[in-house]
Amino acid sequence: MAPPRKHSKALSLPPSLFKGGARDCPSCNHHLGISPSICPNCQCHLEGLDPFIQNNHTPLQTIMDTTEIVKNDDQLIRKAIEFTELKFPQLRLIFCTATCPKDFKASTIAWWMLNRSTPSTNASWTGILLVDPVSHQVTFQVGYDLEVFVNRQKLDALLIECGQWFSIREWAQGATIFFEELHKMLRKAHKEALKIKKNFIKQR
Amino acid sequence: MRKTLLTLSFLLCIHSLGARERPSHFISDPSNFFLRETKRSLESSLANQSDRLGINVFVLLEPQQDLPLEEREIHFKNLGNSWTDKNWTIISYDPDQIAPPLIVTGGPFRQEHDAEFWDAEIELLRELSLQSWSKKADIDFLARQISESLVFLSRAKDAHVTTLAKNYKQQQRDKTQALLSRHIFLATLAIASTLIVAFSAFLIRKMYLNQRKMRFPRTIRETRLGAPHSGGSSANLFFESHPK
Repeated sequence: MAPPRKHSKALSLPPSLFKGGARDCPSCNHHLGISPSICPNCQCHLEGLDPFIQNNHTPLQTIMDTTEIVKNDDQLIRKAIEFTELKFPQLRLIFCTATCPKDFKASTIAWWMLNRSTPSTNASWTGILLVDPVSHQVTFQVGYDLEVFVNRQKLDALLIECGQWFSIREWAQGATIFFEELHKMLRKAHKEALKIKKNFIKQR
Repeated sequence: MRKTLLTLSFLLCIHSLGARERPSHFISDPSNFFLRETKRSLESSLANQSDRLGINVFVLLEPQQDLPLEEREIHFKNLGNSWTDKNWTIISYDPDQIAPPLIVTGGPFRQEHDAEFWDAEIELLRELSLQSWSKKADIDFLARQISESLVFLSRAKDAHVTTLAKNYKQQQRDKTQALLSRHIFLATLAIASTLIVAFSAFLIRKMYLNQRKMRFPRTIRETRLGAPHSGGSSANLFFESHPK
């Protein structure tokens, strides 16, 4: 029998304990129930997107500047990402700029990338910030494990703040601020998560 | 006639107060207060010191004139100065009265030495002389001690005792000052050490917090929309585009 402490470390907590994570469709914003295989509103399903999106199985990199809008300023963003990844060894953060296909939201593309890109180590702990400079969209999508620790309201506020930088084409500045503020948000979330875990173990 | 009478009465008054010849002995004891042997020994001692060191201690064991203390002191001061130009002391004591002995000093040493110290010494000796078992003051002790003290002071002049005493006082002051400085230094050191320890603890804690890796607890995964890694969300923003 495993010792209680070790058992508690390997313990998986129910996501309902945490405030973060909004279960809504990345395509139509419809609020989803528990584990639906298809969006009841727009019939969205991951496999349904595959025929529409080219360039399958793109490996995820820290900086994926396909539109070349940050160019020489990518070091600032990389530094902010590496700092957060150093403090949170579970996490993997991606900054991506891409031009979304017509009639597709950036959130849908980022969601698809997270699930389809290979190799997908720690994919469920990955967060991707996708900026589309053509359609003027920005989105941040996270994996299943990370989503419960990202407060949706704070994330929306952060996107609005960064959107102001993106609107004046300060891409690197906006992305750097986003990851720095995300770091602070995660620190607080981590602190709260440990408390919740402690209480949960006590109550068991 | 009136002027003559006034002059005569003034002269008589002067005579009664201070115009008095230097006594042939250092001890004037008409009432035989001292034992003969004691008197002889003390007289011999005082005479010897007068011859060798010029220190004159007169012991007047006579009835006191009915005058205020200050006037009696002036009277004896005038007497002493008229009797000798060297260092002198007059011890006046009336054995028939309960008043303590009156001690008046004079001579060059008062200008050369610390008068305050000498007055304190006299006061101490007077107090000691009154602490005898008999009801009378111990005049023999008093005279000998005053004489010895005058001898000490006359020799102290050569030995720079006064300077040494001043140096000693200065040393004491310096010592007190040093002690105070040391206490201030120690208190400052203690406060500084406490602050340093607190600051170090703060820094260590900060460093520890900076170095600490943060790991989130695992949660039960509930997949949706057929996606293996991410369920996605509608966190999407359309931003306006302005020229830079």
